[in-house]
Amino acid sequence: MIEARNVSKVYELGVTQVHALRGVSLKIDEGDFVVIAGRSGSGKSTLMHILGALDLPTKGSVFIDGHDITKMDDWGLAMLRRKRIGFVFQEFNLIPTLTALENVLIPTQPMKVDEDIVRERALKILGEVGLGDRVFHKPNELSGGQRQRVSIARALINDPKIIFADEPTGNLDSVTGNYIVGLMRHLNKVEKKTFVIVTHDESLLGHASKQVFLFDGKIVDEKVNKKFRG
Amino acid sequence: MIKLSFLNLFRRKTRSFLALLGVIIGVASIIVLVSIVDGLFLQFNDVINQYKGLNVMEKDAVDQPFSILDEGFANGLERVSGVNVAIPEIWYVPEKIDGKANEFSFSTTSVYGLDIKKQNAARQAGWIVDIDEGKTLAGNDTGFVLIGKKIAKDYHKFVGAKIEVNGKKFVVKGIFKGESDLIENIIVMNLPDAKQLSNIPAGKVNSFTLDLDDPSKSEQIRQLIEFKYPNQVKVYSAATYTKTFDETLGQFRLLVFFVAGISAVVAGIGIVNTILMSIRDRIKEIGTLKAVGWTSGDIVKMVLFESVLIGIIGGIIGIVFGFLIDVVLEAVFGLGFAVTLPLILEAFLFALFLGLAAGIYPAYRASKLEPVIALRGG
Repeated sequence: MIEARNVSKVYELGVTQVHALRGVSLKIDEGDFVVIAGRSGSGKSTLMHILGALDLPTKGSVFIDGHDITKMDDWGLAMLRRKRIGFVFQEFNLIPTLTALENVLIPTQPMKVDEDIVRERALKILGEVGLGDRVFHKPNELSGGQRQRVSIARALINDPKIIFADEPTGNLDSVTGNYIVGLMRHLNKVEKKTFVIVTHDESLLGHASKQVFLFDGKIVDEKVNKKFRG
Repeated sequence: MIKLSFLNLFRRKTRSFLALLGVIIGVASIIVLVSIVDGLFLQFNDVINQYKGLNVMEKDAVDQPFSILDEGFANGLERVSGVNVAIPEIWYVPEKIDGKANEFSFSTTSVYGLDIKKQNAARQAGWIVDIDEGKTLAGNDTGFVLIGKKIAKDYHKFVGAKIEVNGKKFVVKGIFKGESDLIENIIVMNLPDAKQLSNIPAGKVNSFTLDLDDPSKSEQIRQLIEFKYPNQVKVYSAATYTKTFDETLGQFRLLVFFVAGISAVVAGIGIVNTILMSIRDRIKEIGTLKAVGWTSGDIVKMVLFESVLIGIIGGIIGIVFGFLIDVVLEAVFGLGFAVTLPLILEAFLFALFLGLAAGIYPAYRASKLEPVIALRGG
């Protein structure tokens, strides 16, 4: 469903050029639970952004469900993210003035949708991630793990096929982190969501259907473990 | 999305309040200044519309007190076909009333002397007002005056009381009601008394009010008289006055609106600053919104909502404040304000437009943020 072909990304930092990715090729199939691991500066976040249509490669091409994102304009990319992709961030990126429910509804705000229907759906998802009794709480009234669950619920609201998570356990203690990973595995198995997780937390690798190791902008190792396929 | 924009304003309360305050002050000053002009406009119109006849003045005089005509003109004017009577008049601003200086301002008291006998022969034109207390003047009354209700209030006068005008004592015979303070601020007396007060040369008056047989023919008669005395007189009807006032006050109103508007435009710059800072604070949030599928257009809408909300809220509060300031000023200075519906709408639309215009640049900046860079915090 996602295919990166020989993707390079070069950032201009003043006069110096930073080669964040150097010819990365990668295939992600439906139902995959991909964990991309690497040290900071290895290019793993850049790769995630490009695979998630948030950024464009300097060279190479990326196909998401057959659409070449390098040939799409801003609006097309936004529509692609809206309909097919969900994001989960390390720092949750919730809007502090809004309740959990309103945060989950944020992606639907610019859309012409039946408010009652999406509200029902948001409540159902919040229930599924175990926050049924916290829907009217604001982020500062929630624990880190609860906030990350809100952010996962937000990623699910438009029913995307694929969810990208950038260090989803990075700001959580290990018990809470394990719960979040378990939740994502559950969504992968039961709801057939494809996950692409970027982390330097080695413990996540054990859950991966595909392990990708990035070093200096290149894939140095790739392992497939089909039993973890959702 | 409107709710999000609304809540965003409350995240930095002081900052939003300052931007709001700018709009409030701007809009309130528009309301106060323009309502003064509108108030004058309405009062003048009330006064002018009392003229049912024509008014004859010296050709180049700007106003009645500056016009001097022979009293004998009355005979010539009355011979013009369609003129019933020509009432000679004196307009005079006394220096002192009851020993107190009569300062020149919007609330100056003036003396109007007219030939009461001729007035009594008139059908519609001239000094026709409602007597509230006492009686109106008779043709041969001297030493008696009629005063407006405002004077009665200001100087605590009642029927039968004495009022001193420039040292000369008169007895109040009646108190009249008028359409506005301007009219109720007039002392009416018989022509000979007024002549004595104003020291006008013998045989002269300031102007004539013409009572017509048929008021609908006033424009023809006006032209006829100006044709008959081309170098001596100018003839005014209510219509000519209204037209002149409409034009000059209309231009003046526009000028005042824009002068007051300048402070509101400065407030607009305050909005731009507030929104730009707010966007810088929320740069990660905007990155997140883009990541979850908001288009650049959606971001533009959100930011414009915020700035328009500042405009709308500031506009509404500014209108209310301006109105309250008017009420206070009216109580203290007795000025006549007119906060009309068109003025409220104009001020509101101005504030709305200001908010919209102030949001354009910040909205453009926010929408052009690269999602990845915004997510990193800029």
